[in-house]
Amino acid sequence: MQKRRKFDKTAFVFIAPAFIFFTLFIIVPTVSSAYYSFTSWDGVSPNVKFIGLANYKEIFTSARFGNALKNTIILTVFISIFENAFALALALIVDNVRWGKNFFRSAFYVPVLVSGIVSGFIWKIMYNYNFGTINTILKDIGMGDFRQDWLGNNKLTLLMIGVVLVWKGAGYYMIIYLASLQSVSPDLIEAAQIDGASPWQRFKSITVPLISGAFTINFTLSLINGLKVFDQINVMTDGGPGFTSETLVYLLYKVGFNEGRQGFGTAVGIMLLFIIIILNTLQQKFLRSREVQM
Amino acid sequence: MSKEKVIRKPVEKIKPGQIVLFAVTILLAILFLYPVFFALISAFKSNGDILKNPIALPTSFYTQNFKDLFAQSDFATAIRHSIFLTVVSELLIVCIVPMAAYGIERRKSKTTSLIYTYFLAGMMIPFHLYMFPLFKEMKMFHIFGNMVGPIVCYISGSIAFGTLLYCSFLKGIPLEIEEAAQIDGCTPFQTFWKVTFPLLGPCTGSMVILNGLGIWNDYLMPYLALPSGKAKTITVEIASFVGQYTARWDIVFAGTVISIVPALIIFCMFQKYFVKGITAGAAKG
Amino acid sequence: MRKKLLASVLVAAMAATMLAGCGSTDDNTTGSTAPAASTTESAAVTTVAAEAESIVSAPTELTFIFADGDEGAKASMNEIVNRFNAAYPDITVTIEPGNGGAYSEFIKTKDSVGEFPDVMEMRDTAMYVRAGKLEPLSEEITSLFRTTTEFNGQVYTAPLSGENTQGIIYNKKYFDDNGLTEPTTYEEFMTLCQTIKDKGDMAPIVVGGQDIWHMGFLFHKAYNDQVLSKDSDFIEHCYDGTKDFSDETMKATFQELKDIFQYAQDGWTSTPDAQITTFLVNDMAAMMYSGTHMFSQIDAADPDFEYGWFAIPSPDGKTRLVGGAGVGGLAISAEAAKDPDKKAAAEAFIKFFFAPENYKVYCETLNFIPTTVDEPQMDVSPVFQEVIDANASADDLAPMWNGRVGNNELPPDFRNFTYKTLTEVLQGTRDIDSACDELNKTWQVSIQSFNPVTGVGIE
Repeated sequence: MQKRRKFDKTAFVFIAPAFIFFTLFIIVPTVSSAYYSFTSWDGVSPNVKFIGLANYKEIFTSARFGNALKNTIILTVFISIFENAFALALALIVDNVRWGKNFFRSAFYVPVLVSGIVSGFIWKIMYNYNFGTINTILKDIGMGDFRQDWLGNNKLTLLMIGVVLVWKGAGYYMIIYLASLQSVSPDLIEAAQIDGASPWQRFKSITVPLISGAFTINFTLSLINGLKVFDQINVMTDGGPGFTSETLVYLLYKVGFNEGRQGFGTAVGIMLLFIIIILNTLQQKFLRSREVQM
Repeated sequence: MSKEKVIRKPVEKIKPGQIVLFAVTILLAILFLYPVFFALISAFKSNGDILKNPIALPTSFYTQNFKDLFAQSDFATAIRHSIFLTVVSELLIVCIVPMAAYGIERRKSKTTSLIYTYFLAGMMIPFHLYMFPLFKEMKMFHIFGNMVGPIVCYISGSIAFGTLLYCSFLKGIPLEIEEAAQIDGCTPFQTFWKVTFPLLGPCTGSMVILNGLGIWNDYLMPYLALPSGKAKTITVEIASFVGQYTARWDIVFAGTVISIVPALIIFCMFQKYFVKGITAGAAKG
Repeated sequence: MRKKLLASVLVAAMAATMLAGCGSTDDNTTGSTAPAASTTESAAVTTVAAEAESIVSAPTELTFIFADGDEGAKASMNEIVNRFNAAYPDITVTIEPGNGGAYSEFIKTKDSVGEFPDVMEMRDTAMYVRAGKLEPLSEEITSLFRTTTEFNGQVYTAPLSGENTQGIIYNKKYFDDNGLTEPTTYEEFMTLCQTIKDKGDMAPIVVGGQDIWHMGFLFHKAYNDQVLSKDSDFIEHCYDGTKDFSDETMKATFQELKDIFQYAQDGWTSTPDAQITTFLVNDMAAMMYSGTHMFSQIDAADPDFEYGWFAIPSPDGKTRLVGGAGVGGLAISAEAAKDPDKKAAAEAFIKFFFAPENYKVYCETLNFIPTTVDEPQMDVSPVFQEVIDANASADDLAPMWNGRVGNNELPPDFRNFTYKTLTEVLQGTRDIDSACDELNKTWQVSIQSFNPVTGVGIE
């Protein structure tokens, strides 16, 4: 028990460096910027006028904010579900395919290697109505009628942006699932095999509970990252057509930086932060209780 | 017997299911690789060609884009900067983050739970929200306009994700090993670095790959915070060829190809960490 | 060819000097007629390199930021800066390009960390003037230009180029082959479009609807035709409440756009401005409506392509063009100007920049229309010369509706909101009346935080 005591204090030494960096360079600026959400500051002027909760009141009555919120939720839910579904499927495939494991593992990860803005550039060209890859292929195989204005058609915009993000993100989460699958002790699996369990039973009873840790991480991450998507929207649609792809982050950016209303933009950002925190807390409570410690 | 019997699995008969799986995997691989393949072939075409015939393969080995890339921007410096930022940041992150996660996970209490949530909250804060106050603060600490600033920010920004990852993986490390080490007389410090850390291999590998890539591909921070007048990083230089009215896609994709190659190589190198059996072997003690 | 060029430059210069009013416009609106001064100032500038006397008391450094990204911007800026550094050995200008796409953030970041440049290409002029960050420019400098933009009687920016004049760029060969001619009236223009559409070979007009600022080109044309022609202070009246966006002229604007857009190509919302060149040179569209930045793009895409230019006449028969000085340009930091050496150096740099032999480099490389009284002799294509001439002969030459100042300055991002709403109308998801309602609603919200007439937001 003495060793435990020793660690009690040392634990905080272990945590200290991270704590300092984090507080100084993430939390402090955020709190600092939160102050501006109560002002009508334009971002440049030396005059900063305090206006209390006026920005927040405006948010609650703003149709534009409501639209951004709706878009954000749709996009995020889509991304979270499909990124994880694909990632797990890909991890299982790579784990079980007989030939070329290394190759496939790399292949599925390649989209993660391009930067967010470059992925936007590539897909913007591919989605192009006139010269884009998708429409050209459809035309060449005789399915010309199925050609769409993929990004310009209101009904499809969010979906197609989602596709890009799932494409780019699946490999990322696949890695985490893979690492988790690989650390499932083969002894346990062998023991189960000896006991006569079928592959499905083995998967359900052993693998699933032990990769639940990975599942928590991945779902958390994809949810949070989905809520913060920026680069692709910036490059592909600039929030358009109309306001179809304007998400909360994008609204923050547009209003806060481009429209000279940094006070209001910051308020939007703070609201977004609250939403993320709430969603995440709910999700954490739900998933963490299901994790298993060996 | 000091050597364990190496059980060699006899070569199994190829089941039809395996062939189907293989075919499906190939199809998926093509789908996933195509857009990057598109960038690759575009790097060897002229700008007009890319827009006019996007799916055609390049007609010749056209290297003008690469020449233009290096001629019109100091791309070599940009590459150096990208490497420096990524490597130094990751080294420091690996020194700081796993330790913190260990402290949180191994000393379960209200305080550490609170700290865990505190760290996670950081992940939720969109960068655009605190960008400007952060720059002012960096200026105050004299780390704005040089390489130190972004590194410090990257470290701070990785704590949330890193903690999440390491804490989850630490659950998979049996406590018995550590207790054994402590009984043997190791300090907590030694226990962590000599015993636990090596076991976290796949986790470290994952984090470095995932996190390092984010740094390698980052745009906004290097664009705004690195010293003026010189080339910044690979991603920033690539994006500088997309202007308000015109864009040199040919150069953009040439730069993309250069950017992906080292990332891919590193990834392939780190793949070893995912080989089944390393952690299992260690767990046996 | 040269003679014609020289002749038209002389004519323009003479016309400018003749238009020289007795004084500057002292209200806040942008003037389309200018207080042009004598040309002796510019003559002095070109001989400055020969001066042995230094204009600064000690070696001075200046930081200069401009927007990069478009082909040739960095190269031409570097060239001019190098020339200046050579001509003024005790002044060193260090240059830092900012990506044109994220330029506002770039300048803002520099400002927030205390690294506001000494000289810069300024775009968000109104905001920075109100924040007191810019130094008023001297008469010596402002007199170099045909028109300038004033804020409360002072000029803060030296216009880098004439506002990007938009017009129809068309496939000359197709026109000639099919006996089509440049229309002289609006009705003729609509008939032209219909004729091309009926022929079925290609779309009449290619529109780069994916880029919101491209939508602005056609919007402004229609808005200019319908709204500004009857009330050039429409926005001011919306601020003071005497008018709103349900006005008949506004509805007429949307209608004119609907009429024109029926001739746009399929998938116009997905086509970026940069791609309309491909349409034109590949016979997929006969015309495009865009600015002069297109010329070098077309030349690059197909050097043999023959194209012509004309301005779309307004329904009432007049020719209205976007042009003249806008709100942006080179500006001097107020902070820097407190140092007499820096101020002298910055002013010398600006004067040097606009000296014909230097300014020529900038305008020619980027295909911009010069704004100076003493125009550089440019080596440009006949088509570009047509645009320059049209600038001189237009019935109305002014910046776009979102580039106005004073009581006609738009609230932030109202322009984008309008273009997006316009897209909805054109795509059929919103009818005109509903669009006008939406504009009114957004306007009401916007003017609570920004209203030049009542002074809100303009502390």
